[in-house]
Amino acid sequence: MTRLVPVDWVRLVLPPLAAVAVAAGMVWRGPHLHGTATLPTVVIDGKEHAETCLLCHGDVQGLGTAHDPTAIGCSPCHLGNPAGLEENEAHEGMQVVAGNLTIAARTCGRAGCHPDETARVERSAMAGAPGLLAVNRFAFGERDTPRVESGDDLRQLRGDEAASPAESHVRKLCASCHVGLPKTEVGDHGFASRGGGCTACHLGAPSLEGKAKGRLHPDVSAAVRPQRCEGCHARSGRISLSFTGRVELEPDDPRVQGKLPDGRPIGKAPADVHARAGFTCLDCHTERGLMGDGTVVGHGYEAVDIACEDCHQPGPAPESPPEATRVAGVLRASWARRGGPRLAGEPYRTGRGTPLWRTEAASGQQWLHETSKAVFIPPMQREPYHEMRGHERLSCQACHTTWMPRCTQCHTQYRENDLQYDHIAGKETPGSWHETAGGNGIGPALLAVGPKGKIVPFTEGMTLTVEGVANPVDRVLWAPLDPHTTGASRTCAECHPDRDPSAVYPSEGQTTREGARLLSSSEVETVRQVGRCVACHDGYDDPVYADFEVSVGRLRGRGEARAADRVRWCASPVD
Amino acid sequence: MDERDGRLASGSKAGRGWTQRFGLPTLGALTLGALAVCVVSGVVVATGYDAARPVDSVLAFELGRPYGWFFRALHAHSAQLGLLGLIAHTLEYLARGGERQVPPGHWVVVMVSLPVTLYLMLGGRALVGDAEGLGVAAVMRGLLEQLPVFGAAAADVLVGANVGGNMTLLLTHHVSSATLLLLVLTVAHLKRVVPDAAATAVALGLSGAVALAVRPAVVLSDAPVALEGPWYMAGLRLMLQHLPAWFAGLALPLSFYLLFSSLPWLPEARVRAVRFVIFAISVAYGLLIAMAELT
Repeated sequence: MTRLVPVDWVRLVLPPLAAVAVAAGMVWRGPHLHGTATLPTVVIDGKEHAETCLLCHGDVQGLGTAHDPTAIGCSPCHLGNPAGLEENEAHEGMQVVAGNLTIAARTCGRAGCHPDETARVERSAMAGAPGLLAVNRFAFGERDTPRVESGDDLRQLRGDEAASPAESHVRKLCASCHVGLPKTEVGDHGFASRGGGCTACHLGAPSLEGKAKGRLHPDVSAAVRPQRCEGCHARSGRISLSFTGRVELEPDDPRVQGKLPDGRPIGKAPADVHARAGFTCLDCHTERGLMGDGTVVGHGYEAVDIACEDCHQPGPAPESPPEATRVAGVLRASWARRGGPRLAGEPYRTGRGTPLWRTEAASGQQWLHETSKAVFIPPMQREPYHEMRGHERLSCQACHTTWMPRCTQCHTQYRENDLQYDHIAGKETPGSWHETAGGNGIGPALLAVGPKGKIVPFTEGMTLTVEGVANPVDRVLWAPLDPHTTGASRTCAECHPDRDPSAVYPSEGQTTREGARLLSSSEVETVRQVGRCVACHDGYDDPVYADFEVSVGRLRGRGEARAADRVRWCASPVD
Repeated sequence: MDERDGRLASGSKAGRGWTQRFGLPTLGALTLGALAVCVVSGVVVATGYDAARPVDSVLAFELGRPYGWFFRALHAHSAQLGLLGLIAHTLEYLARGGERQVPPGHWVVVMVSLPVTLYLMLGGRALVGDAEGLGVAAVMRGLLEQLPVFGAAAADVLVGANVGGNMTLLLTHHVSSATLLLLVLTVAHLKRVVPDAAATAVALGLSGAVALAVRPAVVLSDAPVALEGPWYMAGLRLMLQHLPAWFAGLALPLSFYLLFSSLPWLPEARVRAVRFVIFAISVAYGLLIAMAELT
């Protein structure tokens, strides 16, 4: 064989050259390439494993004890490669927003952490907003009823193009609020925060003792601040505003006293009695009411687990689901870790058996979420007004709602040629929706029959006109709403007007919930009949109300009595 | 050196290669050099390995031992170099009709050393104990179980259950039985085990240079990332995605292997055609690897 290299230099030169080159390389890179001699480890689900993330991120502060990175590391939440020693290698597959529901089963919902809660959230009303989608399709006239149907889930909407005007409207204006919408930017965006799955609610300000020494991470905690709810619930029903005594007004309203962070003008109104006592959202709303109990529901009213009587008129405690009991125990332990007062007594329970773990049934007290203070829960008075014949169908809110946010008209225009961000597609797409509210303000609670058959507060939802679409909409819709403005009861005359009842009982239009309806004319007539008497018989304990029908019958039989005219007027049918 | 006595070194006709034109060692010598580097670095790596906590011990070795990172990388990359050298050496040898120049017994030794090498390579990757390693172990077990009659037993003996990530059985084979068997086969093949100094230097230089720059992956992710496995299994992975496991994982490789093994005993008239088929299949598998790695 002919050698192209004539000298057998390889045997002479290569061994020492290779040895020197490799040795030089080793010296150049050093004995500890990754700058430490200790492998960081954490314990997850009872098993110790490597967590190389801490080599670079060991200084992160702000997470409380439950999610302390020195105890659980970074990768259980943010995934990535906890055995990586180079940045790119370690960050492969990392999820910056760990709580997004698209990934939550592997992060928050991993075994040993919160699998049950994550599974429930994924089926909850907040995750896919099925009711919102169904009602919007009904409002736009694309369906005959507001009934939630299979496929009504924002997470099931695909592609860049909406299938209908109602879907387009939801995708561009409403969809940002659903918890299932993946959040793309890290951190707390305050009032502008939208979506993000678990982190939509569970993100908080960094938890620090003393001065910050390292990089700050938002806290992730079961102690959800009311500000987390406000981003979404200061809209539509506006319960976050109403509860704290704020009402959205028209810009030229003389009662305007400020603006929300998004620019909407607001004024002051009486805050809910619970807010005045220091309550925040989590003082009433249970984790099962918010994250769901695993049952697929369409609307918030189906999901909400708490009712006034659970605390104010507690009956025999229903049996608690084991999972609810377990979570309540976890939450009490978390409360104790954060320095809250010891909670050991048997709590009140909701109608579904969820323990209201910060209450104590024996003393009738509740410890408040934000301040840890104990407050006494006044029991419902067993007075005539609470047990009157004819009031059986009344919800607590029907009488104790002190005011409602009202938006008497909503004009929506569609512009085909403009671009607007589509929250489902994640980019701007053709077609834009422009809402012009009108008559934002304050008013009494309207009353109608809610989806569960009770008389509940209603508000405009909406007096709607939609232009620019193939089938323009012009209709009046009424929506049941617990506005969270609880206070002293309204007077008898407010609900029993003897003249025009339309200020309290809407008579035209449809409701936005299946099973809900406006009061029939005969029902309104009955209400007004009482109104004839209330002017004089204004006490709840007045004997005429003991059996109203008998009283009216007796009155009609006294046609020749002394106050004949008055009696005749009282007993005559209403107009 | 006489090829008939089974010694195939750089001086033999069949053992000579194109690399010698550049004053470099033959591919066979390079393979043996890489094996030597791999064994020596493997001894160093084994001192820090804990079969009960494989990943943690690997990482602790990399971080805690002076130059641990280098020896682990050197061990992994020299093994890759050895495998590449072995493939190239085999194909080069085959191209020259070398299989018909050695005694049949020698050819059997060569053919047995191929699956042993593959087993050591796969076992080494599995021993890391990370997500990819556990995946490799599962694939090894799955493929062995496809074998008729004694498949499950073979899987139990060669791979084990690796319950809880415990790699004791694989470690035993990797550091002793399988390595010893390969060394015995190497001796039977070459009549020596000490490598050529220059070839070892080239192997050390090449694998050392890569070891200085590239850390062999350790993947522990719960993220939905694709676990790719070793590069030489990428073609098989691609086939398994589209073909039944018994066919892609067992029938095809086994047929290829048996065809390859039968070369010395085939009639002279058919050898050229079979060699062509073997080269064609090798090239096709190489393309499959490329496709899998690029997609």
